[in-house]
Amino acid sequence: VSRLPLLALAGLLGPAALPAGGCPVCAAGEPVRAKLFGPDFLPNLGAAVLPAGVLAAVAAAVYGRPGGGRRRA
Amino acid sequence: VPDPARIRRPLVAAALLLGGGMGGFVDGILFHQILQLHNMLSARYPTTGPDPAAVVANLEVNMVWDGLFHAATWAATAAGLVLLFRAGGRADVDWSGRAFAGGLLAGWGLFNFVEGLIDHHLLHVHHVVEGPGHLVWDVLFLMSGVALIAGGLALLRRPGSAHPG
Repeated sequence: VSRLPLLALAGLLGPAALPAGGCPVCAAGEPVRAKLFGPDFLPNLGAAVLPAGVLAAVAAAVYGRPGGGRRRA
Repeated sequence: VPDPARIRRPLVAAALLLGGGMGGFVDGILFHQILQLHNMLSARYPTTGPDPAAVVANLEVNMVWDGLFHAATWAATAAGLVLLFRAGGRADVDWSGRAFAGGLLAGWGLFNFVEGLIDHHLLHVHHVVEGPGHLVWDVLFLMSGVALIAGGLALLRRPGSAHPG
């Protein structure tokens, strides 16, 4: 099955899903932008994604080597 | 007695991701949104205060970072679903309900512990309950993580398989 129609649909609906003012983060006022992209951006990003990242690393260690299993009949 | 040729690791790895992802959603949906105890950066950018303009700006900032937190949690959950699907197609995986439940609990506990350690105690971006006395709630949150991990490991270490097939 070609994925092209799905990609085309996503391309059409993606911009339409944005509010009338465009990207809300881009349209935010200076006080908000300064806080979003300030010097603590990377620590904040770490705070948001590290817990899930550590979880993924532990799950990968538990999983071990990929492949090699027998498929169910 | 479990068949030594059957392995649990693929199922447990999937359960860890799903449990941690669901635990992250409990945090985000219950604590951030329904109870509004804290937001992702509410210790740095408080969502209450005397200046309405500053509060609105801080709410906007917190909403974006709450969204990034949920996006990471969603990605962990999606990865867990992929691993679960792959485990379901393997004949050598011990399809044990007990192991799955243990993995779910351990994953939730691991998420709570790591999130608490990083966000509450190391980076101080938010606390479970913002305001004076937050340390008590932060420590209780860490302890909930330890308790869930212990419960999960206890289930994982119990021998036997719920479903032989």
